[in-house]
Amino acid sequence: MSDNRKFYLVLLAITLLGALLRAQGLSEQPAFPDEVMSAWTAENYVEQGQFTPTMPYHPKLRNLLYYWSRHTFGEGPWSIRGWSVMFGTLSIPLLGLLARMLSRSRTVGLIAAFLLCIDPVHITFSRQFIQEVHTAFFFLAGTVLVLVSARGAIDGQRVFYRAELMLPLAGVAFGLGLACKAHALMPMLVCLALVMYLWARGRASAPEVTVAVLSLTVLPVAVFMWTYAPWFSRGYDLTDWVFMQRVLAVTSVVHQGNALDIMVDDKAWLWFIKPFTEYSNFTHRDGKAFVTVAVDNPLIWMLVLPSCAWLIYEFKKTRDVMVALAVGLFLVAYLPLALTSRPLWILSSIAVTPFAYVMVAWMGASITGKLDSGRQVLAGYLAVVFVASMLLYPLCTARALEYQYLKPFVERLDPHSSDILKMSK
Amino acid sequence: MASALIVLFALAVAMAMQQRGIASRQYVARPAPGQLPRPVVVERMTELYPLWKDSRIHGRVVVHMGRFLHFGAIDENELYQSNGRFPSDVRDQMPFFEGRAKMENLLWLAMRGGLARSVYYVMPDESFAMRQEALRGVPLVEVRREAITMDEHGSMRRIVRTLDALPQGEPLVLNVDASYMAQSSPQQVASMLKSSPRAFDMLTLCMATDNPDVTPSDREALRELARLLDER
Repeated sequence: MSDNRKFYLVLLAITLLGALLRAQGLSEQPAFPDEVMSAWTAENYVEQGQFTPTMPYHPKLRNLLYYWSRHTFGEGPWSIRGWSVMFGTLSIPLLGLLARMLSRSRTVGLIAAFLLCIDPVHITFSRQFIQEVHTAFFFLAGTVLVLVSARGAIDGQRVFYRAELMLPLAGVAFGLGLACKAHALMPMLVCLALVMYLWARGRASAPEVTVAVLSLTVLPVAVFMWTYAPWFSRGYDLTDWVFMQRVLAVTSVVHQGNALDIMVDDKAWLWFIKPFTEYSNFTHRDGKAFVTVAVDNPLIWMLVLPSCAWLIYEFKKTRDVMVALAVGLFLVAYLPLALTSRPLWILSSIAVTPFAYVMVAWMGASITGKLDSGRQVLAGYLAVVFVASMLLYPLCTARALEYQYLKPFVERLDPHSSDILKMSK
Repeated sequence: MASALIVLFALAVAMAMQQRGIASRQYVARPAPGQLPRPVVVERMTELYPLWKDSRIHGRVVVHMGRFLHFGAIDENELYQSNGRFPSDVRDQMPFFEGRAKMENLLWLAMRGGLARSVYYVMPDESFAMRQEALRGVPLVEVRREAITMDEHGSMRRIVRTLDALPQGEPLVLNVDASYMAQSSPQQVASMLKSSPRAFDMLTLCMATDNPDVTPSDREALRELARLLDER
């Protein structure tokens, strides 16, 4: 069997594992308040062009998706959460492909895919009707498409691969990503910067640059605008749309969260420094409390900043554009979040962690590749992170209260936890 | 070729959305600027919503001449109790909201029901100055000399002092509230309305009997305004 074929088989296996972790017990997981209100919001939006009751300042693709699935498949957990499971699962092979292209290493691709597969934060929100996972899928798809087209040019071949197909497809993907959340803007800008770099280096022709620039600017905006069609039906015109986008962008930037959020971690700059950053959702059913806690796996997250530093050092040695791109994708995604003063919750990390996992995988594979027993060390590390993620897994599936060893995570949320623990008795 | 198609696609989307919005607006009539419709007198603010709804207005700029904002949101949280269960029983919320219409939330209801896409308030100078002072420094509110601009989830709400500051290019829905008359004479308001270059396809005069802050003399002044507007 060729190495390439092995790569795809292992990637498929990792993807199937990711699907299992995201789908297992999904029907038994009760509806969270955010999900209930999101269901109403989707209906209000498509039927009446209204943004309420929840997250009115966020883009609208999620509403369109759920409206379609609800009216096609009926109400129920899979109708509302199926999108997150699908996008979350498909993000895994996309990240694997992206990491492979950036590092030119099948091993790095598989490690990055595996890290995303078992990431407790990504699993948690792949099991809820939350658009962060959708956003990541689309911006990963867009970035992969740009790289598939541009990697020949990056390697000095002076030609884009099927630019007139790949780049517009990337633009549509980024547009759909922007229609999920603004986080998609950052990797899109990095891809645009890549194109301009290639043009400056004489590795892209004028027609290729033109289609690339239009694909990564005009086309995503057009796709984004189209998702506001129900809102336009309220009588608004383009000047109203510009006003609305401006005020909602400002609202999003100054948003300070809800009262319940004040007791959880809300500083993005601490994500890769302080272990066990978390965010919780509560609900109850039949007198029993259910809590999900999105929490990082510190065995992975504590390596993110060191791997970034390591890759910067590698870039200084090699001047490899792919290394710069990997670091650039992470920093451009992360720094605006790390430097903002407004509260940010760990679910926003999904805009950053795919790129972080590329770096961790790259560093891990490179360093262990130089050791005599490197394969064993790498396998051992992956086994340990897998076990750690599985120990945290009940936190992702609303079953945290069934496990005593997970009490510290729930008790951090006092006083709510004391109410929850009373309800669970 | 791809570049041309992208540009054409983008232009098509923009034009389609523009056309969609404009085509969604529903008017009672298309009067010429300066032509005032015959005013409809209502006793209570809550009568306005069914009147506007029965007139089938949709996606309109609603202008409220008065001292109060009438934009309190209706608490809808009781709709969202699921006790952790699916399905979540999603349905049209408008009957819930319409059943809770009050003077305090009428303009919010008009926007929530799609009748108003934006709301303009024309306030007497004294009330306008008071609002400027109260709203200066409030996040997400833009306070300028001639206008105070806010939004309701991206939909514009603007407080101005004169009819000249109202948007042009389409007929407007106008309600004159008795509260406005506390700081203006009927003759002044009649002159303002008759000389305004703006077009109005619906004009209501609200006695605001459901507003305890409106006095009998305010209502008497509004009746006088109605008589002056009837002189054609």
